Amino acid sequence: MLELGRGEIRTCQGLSRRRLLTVGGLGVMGLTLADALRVEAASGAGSGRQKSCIFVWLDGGPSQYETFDPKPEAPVEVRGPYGAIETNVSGIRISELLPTLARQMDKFTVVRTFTHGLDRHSPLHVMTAKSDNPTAFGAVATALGERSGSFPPYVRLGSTIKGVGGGALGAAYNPVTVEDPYAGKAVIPDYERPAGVAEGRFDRRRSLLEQVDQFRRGADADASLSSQDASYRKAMGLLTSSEVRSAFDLSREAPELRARYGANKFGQSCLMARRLVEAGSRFVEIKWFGDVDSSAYDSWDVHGADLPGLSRLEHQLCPRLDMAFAALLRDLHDRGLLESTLVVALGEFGRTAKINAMGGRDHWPAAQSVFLAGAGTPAGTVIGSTDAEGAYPSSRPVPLNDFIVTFFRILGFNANVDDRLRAFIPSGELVDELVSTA
Amino acid sequence: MNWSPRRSTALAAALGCLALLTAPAPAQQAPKLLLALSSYREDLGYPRIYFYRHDGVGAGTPEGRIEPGTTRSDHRPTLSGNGRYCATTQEVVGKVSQIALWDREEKKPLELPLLSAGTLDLGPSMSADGRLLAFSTWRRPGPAGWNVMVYDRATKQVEYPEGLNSEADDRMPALSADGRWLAFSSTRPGGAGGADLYLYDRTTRMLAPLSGLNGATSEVEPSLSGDGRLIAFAAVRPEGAGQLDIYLYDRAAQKLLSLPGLNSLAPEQAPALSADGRFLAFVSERLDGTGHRDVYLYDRSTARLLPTPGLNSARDDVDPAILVLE
Repeated sequence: MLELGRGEIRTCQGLSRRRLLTVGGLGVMGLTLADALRVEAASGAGSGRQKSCIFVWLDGGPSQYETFDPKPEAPVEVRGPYGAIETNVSGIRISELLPTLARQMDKFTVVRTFTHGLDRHSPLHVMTAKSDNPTAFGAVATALGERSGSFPPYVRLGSTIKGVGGGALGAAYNPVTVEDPYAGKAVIPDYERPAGVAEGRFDRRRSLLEQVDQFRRGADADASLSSQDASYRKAMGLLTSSEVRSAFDLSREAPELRARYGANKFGQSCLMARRLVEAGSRFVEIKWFGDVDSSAYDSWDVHGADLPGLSRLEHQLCPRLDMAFAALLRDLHDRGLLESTLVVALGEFGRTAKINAMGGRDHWPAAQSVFLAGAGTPAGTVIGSTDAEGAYPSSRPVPLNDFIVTFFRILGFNANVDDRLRAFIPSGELVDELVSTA
Repeated sequence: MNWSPRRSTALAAALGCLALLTAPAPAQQAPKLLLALSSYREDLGYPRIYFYRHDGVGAGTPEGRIEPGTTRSDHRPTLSGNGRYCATTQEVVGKVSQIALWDREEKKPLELPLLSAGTLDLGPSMSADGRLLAFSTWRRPGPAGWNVMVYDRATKQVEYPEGLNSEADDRMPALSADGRWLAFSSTRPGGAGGADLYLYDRTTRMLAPLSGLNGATSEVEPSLSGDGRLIAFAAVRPEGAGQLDIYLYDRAAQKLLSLPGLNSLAPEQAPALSADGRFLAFVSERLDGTGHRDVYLYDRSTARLLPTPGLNSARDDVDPAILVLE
């Protein structure tokens, strides 16, 4: 994985292992970004445009009650201190903590009955398809899809998500990562030659890329790539091109628009995601803007043990989500990108119905609300309903596997006929309500 | 969403004249201020309480902090009238949060005997003499929802104020300087919509009317002027500048007062009104801030945000309390 913005190179799980896989006839062996480009060139990919995706990972597991499935009629110990508000779609109410988004309900849909049985914080089961073959959705979608121009196809905004990357496809499909897109800090500083910096010094920075690629090849070093390799040069050029740097440069946006997204990492990540999709990225993954070492600070894992009660939802999490998503939907819509871009947001699980002794809610995988917008998904609707206390699906449950299959269908991949997908995603039923217009 | 600025100029104009009548006149010499706030500046995992002295104009300096714990979060400070005592919410990892008291003069914690029931208490508000502490509590077993209780440091008694709490959530208490008035937010039935603000008179043990304050959306985070006449609060309203905004209500005029230049597109939260009603400290998350949420200081007499050098950090700075020093 290349990490930009912090000037350091990290490795991902399994980078040093040599893997030989055959995926739909595509041989991938410990690939680098340059490999990927070479494969692409050989296969003739690069034309056309499939649907893009902005995949938002709400780390910690968001509460359905304080987001998209409030239960204002439930007992006070269940409903919590926050009410429900009308949206701009008659008959649909969401939490009052999302007032700006409520006015954009006609642009998105909520699945209130996403359900599984995994009470674990690991994102692997939701962000990768098979636990025995953990390959990020973003890697699968970009590896098997068509590339649009010479732009990083798979980008992650936010901190590392352990184990979520190229996986079985190889390191070439790890995302290009920008840890902190906020406030102009993410202009790929370590790969851009600043004014006054000598070319030679900049070349040394380039050597970082060589180093990481060498590491990725590890003990099985394959000498087929060298600094003279054309694909390697293209990879380097891709990461340092003015077009790419421009897409990562939020200072090019109007201050008012930036303000509407929210002056925080998550809000600015959403804005950068829009810029990246607009520029040609296929899959932009946003991790709720956590710090790896301080997940308690901003996680959606609101047991009440980190800061009392649900106050973090009220003061920190929901206002940021509210502003960023409302701005993102409007922005994508206004630019004509919403029809070709799927925005999806979810976490590990939902939260318990009854508020615990800490004043928070605990893990609850039986029901989670998932946000979806764009790419032909229905808008202004709610799919599924939960029981009176929001704990279990009472109609139209959407199991994990069904969701994954449907997610890929929305992006343009049909798991029932595309053999290439079988190595990566499980079998499941389509959620027809989500794909009927996709 | 309307993409043009949604400031309600009509409302602002209508309230502007009233504000001139009730805003304090600019002082010849600005009073000195003491602020307390919670900040993640030193530890992203555990916020700590910092103090800051401001000249009421545009200069200020940090003035120490509460001695931190290693795995303890400190937040929601409240100050006594002389600035000596600072009550906070403290939470040690794995335990429920508790109300704590810090002596700024002696630089040490003070005991609050018989206050803790081992259950969740948070969000204290202190009377000016430092004797009374109102707080929200989630005591189990106990009455439904969140409730407001008052601790008397003199008698060491915890009072469950008669006629204050409901079967719904009652929380976010704010005491007046003399401890008579107690504003709080409640989701009880019969309100104007969402959570509403209520004002409890501790002398009569009855709720006082707040005509014209509550709206169809929720009102939260009340803060009282010293005499309880003015109530600052946060709300999301259609005529607002964006997301949460700060509003100011005058009980005497029974109307909202204008706060020109205070609110923005960003969420404004956690208003803290000075006892004289002149200054409002609050939290906002703006692009031109120092990083994420910052504490801002607004002077009603000039209708301007005051510079606060050294107050904020690159991380979240929240939960301000403000005191006009004698």
